[in-house]
Amino acid sequence: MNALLKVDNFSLDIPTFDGVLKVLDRIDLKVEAGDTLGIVGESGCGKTVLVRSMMGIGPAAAKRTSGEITFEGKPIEELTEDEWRAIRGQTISMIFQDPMTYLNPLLTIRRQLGDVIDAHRRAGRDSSALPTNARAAELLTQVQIPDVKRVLASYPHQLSGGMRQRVLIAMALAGPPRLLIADEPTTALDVTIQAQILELLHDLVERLNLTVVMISHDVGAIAAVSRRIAVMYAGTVVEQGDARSVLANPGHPYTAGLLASLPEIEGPRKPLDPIPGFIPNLIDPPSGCRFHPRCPRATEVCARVVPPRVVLGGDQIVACHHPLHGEAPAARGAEETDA
Amino acid sequence: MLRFTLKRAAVMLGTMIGLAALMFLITNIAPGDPARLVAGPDATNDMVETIRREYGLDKPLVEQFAIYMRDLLSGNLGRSIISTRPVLQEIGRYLPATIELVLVAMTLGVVIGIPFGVLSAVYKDRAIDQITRILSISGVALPAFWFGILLQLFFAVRLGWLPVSGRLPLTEVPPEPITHLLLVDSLLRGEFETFRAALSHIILPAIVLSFPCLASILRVNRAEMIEVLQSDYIVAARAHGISPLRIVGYYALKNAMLPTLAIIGLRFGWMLGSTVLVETVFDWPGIGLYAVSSALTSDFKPVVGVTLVIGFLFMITNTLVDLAYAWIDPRLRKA
Amino acid sequence: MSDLAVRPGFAERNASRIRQWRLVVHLLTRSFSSMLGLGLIVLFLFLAAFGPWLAPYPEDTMGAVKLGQRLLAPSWAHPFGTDEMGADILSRVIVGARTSLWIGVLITGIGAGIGIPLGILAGYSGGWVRAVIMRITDIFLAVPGLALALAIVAAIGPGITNCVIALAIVWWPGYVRLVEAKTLAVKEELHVEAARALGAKTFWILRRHILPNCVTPIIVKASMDMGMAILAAASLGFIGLGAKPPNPEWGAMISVARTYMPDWWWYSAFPGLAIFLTVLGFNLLGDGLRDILDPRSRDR
Repeated sequence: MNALLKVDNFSLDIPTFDGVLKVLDRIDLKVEAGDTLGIVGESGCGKTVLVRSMMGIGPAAAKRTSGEITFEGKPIEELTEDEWRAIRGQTISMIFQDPMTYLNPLLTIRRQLGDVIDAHRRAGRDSSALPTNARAAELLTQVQIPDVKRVLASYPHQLSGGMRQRVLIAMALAGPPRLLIADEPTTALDVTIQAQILELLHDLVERLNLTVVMISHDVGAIAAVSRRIAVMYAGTVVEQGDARSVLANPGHPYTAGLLASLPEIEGPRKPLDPIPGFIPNLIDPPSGCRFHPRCPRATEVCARVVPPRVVLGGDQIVACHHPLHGEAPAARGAEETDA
Repeated sequence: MLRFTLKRAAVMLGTMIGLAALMFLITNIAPGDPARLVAGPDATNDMVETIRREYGLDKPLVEQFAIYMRDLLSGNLGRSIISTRPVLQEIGRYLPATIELVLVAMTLGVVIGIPFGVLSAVYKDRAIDQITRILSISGVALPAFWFGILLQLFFAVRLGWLPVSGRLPLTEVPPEPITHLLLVDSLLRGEFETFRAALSHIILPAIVLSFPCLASILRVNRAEMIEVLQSDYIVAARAHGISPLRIVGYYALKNAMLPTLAIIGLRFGWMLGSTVLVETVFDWPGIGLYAVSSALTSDFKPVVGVTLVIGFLFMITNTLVDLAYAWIDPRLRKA
Repeated sequence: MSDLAVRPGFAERNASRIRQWRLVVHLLTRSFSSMLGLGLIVLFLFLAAFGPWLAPYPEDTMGAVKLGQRLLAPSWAHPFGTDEMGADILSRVIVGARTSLWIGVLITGIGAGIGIPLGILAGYSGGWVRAVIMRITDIFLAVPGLALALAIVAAIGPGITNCVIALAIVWWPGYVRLVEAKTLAVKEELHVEAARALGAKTFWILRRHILPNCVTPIIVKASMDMGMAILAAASLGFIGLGAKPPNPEWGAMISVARTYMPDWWWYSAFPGLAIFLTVLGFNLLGDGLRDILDPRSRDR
């Protein structure tokens, strides 16, 4: 088990004026080297808090109430701020959602990118022999930016959204990092640009053999890049496994509902099929399974008992009392009973 | 940038003209006889009539305004009744003292205010933050004249460390003027005793004058730094492993400087206005004291002159602040 | 779920607003400095309201002549000492609160009363109306307040009333700027556009959409202005252009007191302390309100 990143029974609480938000509940995830994991979920399901905690930049007021996150075997809780600084950007790197607000508006791209490169150099990680400027140009070329000189001399507001996102990706790859976390990288972009960026990410993953954790509420975006997928709802992971399997054969009613509510371009026109109800209030989440108030398959046990992790063949794991198909016994490697 | 500068200069010119018009309005709309205002309270009716004719106050308002503007543009600010000397000349005599005082006070405010504002933001809620917060709140509320009197009482009278008032002791001869700033001139001419004396005289009034400015800079810089430090690009910079020193001192500070600059500009204006108080308390021979003593003796022209000069200085400062804004923030350069 | 046919009660309709105010009060009471400011202001208002009955020597307040008691040092009989006419300084300071209060209220009130409507008009109308109003405002703001007030008072003569007029003239442009900026911003917001699209009349939009959004910064500014106006009036009094003796105005008292420095220091010290604490109170409260009402700066 050579997991690069492991999230073990991880729970997080955030105290607020209105009460304590139980924002993450016993998250179990594993990312191996070379993997691409996509985390899907609606806004507010906790995915952003989760990945930020992975980098130690979660909300300051958050309190871990159970479990731990380990990177290369070491629990990150115990890292000092100095040790974190050595890791950030070089070993674990992050791409953010809105490239406009994540770039300093007052500094040129050359300055910002250069600073990142210099920071890595000083910590001894960057093996490239190029001077900073040349390295910056090299990184920008890697993300397929055409007019490198112009971009380097520009300020963020002078570039288009897609260009800015490429710059952010270049900054994140400066390490080069062992783990790349992408926080909704396409959400703030136009649809056509989204496609370009996703293609770029896919390309980079193949070429550089990156390990990527990507989060989004857009199932399509996740599917384009990720080999494995985890579905989150209201602070819990309800299903995870191989992307193609999960999307073709969802085991959890929420995943099924999510996929069913997506509009289809092909086929006859029909009304949208949303999941009834609203996301629960995390200060007082539903007892037992957090999805049970909205679940068409919910029974009495769902409201009382937290659902167990059920393995459905391959490595598809579902947290449900009544998965949609193939209940295998707890032992691993059992056959699927049905499709 | 050049077009930007020219635009700003044009705006400034327009406002200056408007200000001159405003002062004209004040003189004439005020109740009472303008001729009597100029002549002074002790004038006889004959004198008032003479003054009226001499100053063209019997002509229609529009014509008076034209004469007034023409005079202004040629630098004629009228004459002081008390001293009978031209106002412009007297302002020229007193202005360097005020400029020197304001410069020293401003330097104090900036040199202490900005670093401590940053430290306060970084070490939020710790000891240094609490102290600066108390300072910054009380600094604006502290009546300048009261503070000045207390400092005089304590440091000059009780402890005898510093002189009570004035710019130089009577026994000292000022150095041959180059810049007309005593501190600079005495250094340039190598007269170190004079420098020491001038320094000891300027300390107390400069501290009093700088206090509200210092308080405001502390407060705004701290608030801006706190907000900027929470912004997304700072999170990103941390995520990329950039050193905290660079993040605070460059990435954050550059962004926080913008509102701080605005406050510096504003406070400079307040400072110019407060010179009337501080110069009164410390007998500092500047234009503030000149304006006050003129006002108290109903000598109106000097007051108008000083107000116009202060307005002019303030406008220049604001324009400089605008330019600095555009220089720091590239997004504004299109204006 | 509630039945849609039944009109929701007051608590339900205003639930979010009530929660907001609960939050404001909660944060306010948690802030030591804001509570201190509030305390100082309450003390000030109390003295202003009941001054004449609280002063130990009420006959001294408008200037008595008890030359036998001139310039006595602070003691149990006269906690703040006596002035050069023998009047008890504590009494005069207490009664001075009332003078300062109405000075502050008048200046801030008139300034806001002129400035706010002009600001809304400028922000909402746009075009040449806005240009004219803002140009004029800029001219007034080109001169620092105290200097302009000095010039005005020099022209119209000294005295408390003229002082108030001069300072009100200095104060109104600040409100125009604040309100115009806010109106401009709110005007562009979607809810105003929606209201316009639905055919709402201008006055209704101003009253229901623009004004409520301006209220918060106005409250913050007004509370800080109260203190600053009192300070400015006292400053003019100190120069000698404000209230004239025997009026118990704090600034004028210090002006006279200065000639009795340093031996009879208490004469300057205590009225000045009163000014300081009053202005501090308003500043603390205004600051606290701004921290709370401006959601950007709330620390979560």
